[in-house]
Amino acid sequence: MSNSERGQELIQKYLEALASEAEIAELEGLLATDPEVAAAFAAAARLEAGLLGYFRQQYKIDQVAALLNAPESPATPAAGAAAENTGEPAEPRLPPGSTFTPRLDRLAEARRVTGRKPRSESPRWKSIAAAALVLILGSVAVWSIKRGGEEPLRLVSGRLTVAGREVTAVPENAIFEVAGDDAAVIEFGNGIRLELTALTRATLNRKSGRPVLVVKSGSGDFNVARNPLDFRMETAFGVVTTEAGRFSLNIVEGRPGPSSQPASLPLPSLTVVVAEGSVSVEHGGISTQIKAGQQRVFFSST
Amino acid sequence: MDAQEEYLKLLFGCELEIRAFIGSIVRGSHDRDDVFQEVALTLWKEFPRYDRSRSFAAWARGIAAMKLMQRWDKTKRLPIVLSPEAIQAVSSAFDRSEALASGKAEALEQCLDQLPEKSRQLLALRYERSLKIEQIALELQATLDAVYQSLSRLRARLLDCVNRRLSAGGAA
Repeated sequence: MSNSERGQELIQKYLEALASEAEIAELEGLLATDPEVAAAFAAAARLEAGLLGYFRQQYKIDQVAALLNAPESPATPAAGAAAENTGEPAEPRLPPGSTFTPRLDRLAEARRVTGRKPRSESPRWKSIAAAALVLILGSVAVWSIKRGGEEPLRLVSGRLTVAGREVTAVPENAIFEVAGDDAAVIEFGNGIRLELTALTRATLNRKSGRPVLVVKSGSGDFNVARNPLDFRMETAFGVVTTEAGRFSLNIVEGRPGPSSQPASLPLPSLTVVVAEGSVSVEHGGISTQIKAGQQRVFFSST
Repeated sequence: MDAQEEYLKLLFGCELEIRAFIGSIVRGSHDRDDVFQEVALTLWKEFPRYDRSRSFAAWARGIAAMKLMQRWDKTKRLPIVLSPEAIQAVSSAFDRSEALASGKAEALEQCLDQLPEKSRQLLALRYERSLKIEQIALELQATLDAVYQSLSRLRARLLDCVNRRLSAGGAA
């Protein structure tokens, strides 16, 4: 068997994590001595990355397809009010740099590639969507009965302002800012506690009874005890969700500066550090699970 | 264009290329993400020293290779699987074939489009659902070897198709 053939065999085993230690050592030897094997390795690695990118993209597109096929429902009054007060759409926008945004127009093509049938010919999606809707509505109804409606918000300490005016209660559906030098501590009745640092700007909305914090800038510590409805946070860099966890988040907005000193400027980013439980971050069309003790930085691609 | 904008544009322009390099040496998706983030931060810190006459991807890969070599542990072999010598050889191979990488994603899409449904389903199990070969074999009620051979053949077929498309200039 030639070096090239043996190299191919070892590369395939290596990619599937099936190569033994001896085989990895043999592959290392071939990589270092035979440029042809090294070139084949690079080609295989590129193909692997391309396939991962393609199929994860497809997975996301299929999720979007499921959403598009779900029965349309009118926006809730709270969501409508959110759009009115903040001047922003009530539905979450895709994060900047989301890789599947420009590909939505290729949905039909993607469906063709994955063998999915168009909407009108696919009652299966409708059934799934209808079942999901019933499940969601049922969960919300049960939750509301158990809880007697939405959980009250409490400003435990710190100061908040809305459009420069100090408020005594936590506003919903309006952009507020943490005023003064101290952090603002906000508690929900169901075991969610937020500690937002000074100058943090955010909006608190509810979607289907679920609290949604839209953080524009700043940082904070978050403690979410296990509760029937998970907590969701939206930022320009991605969507952060957790069923239960203790974590902190920091948004660096980044400002343009002189190009002679780029390294002194912070990159626009979202940093998430998880102390307990786990947190999911949806960024650029990819969902990342962050567990206790881990830290992740997400950059904007715009 | 300010430096940040330029940097981000260059970084995202070759993100797949850097991820392909890191992914071929590091095991585990979380560890790969960690390394990529570390590399992205280092690249930004070093950006004032980036020589614009050089390929950004090659420069980025050089820094990534250095990071990987520093983290390599001979006794553990995880998450960095390959030795520093092998990492260096792989990095050089990537450099030599960088020109071939452009247009590869489009060519790959076209090649995938031509595959029979069964083959696409097998690839989807492996790459979309991230199943291991044993799990795929269980799901398809096939032998481990049959799944392994099918995947190997599919990869070879795709590589051949992509190369043919790129050399014929048919990716566009």
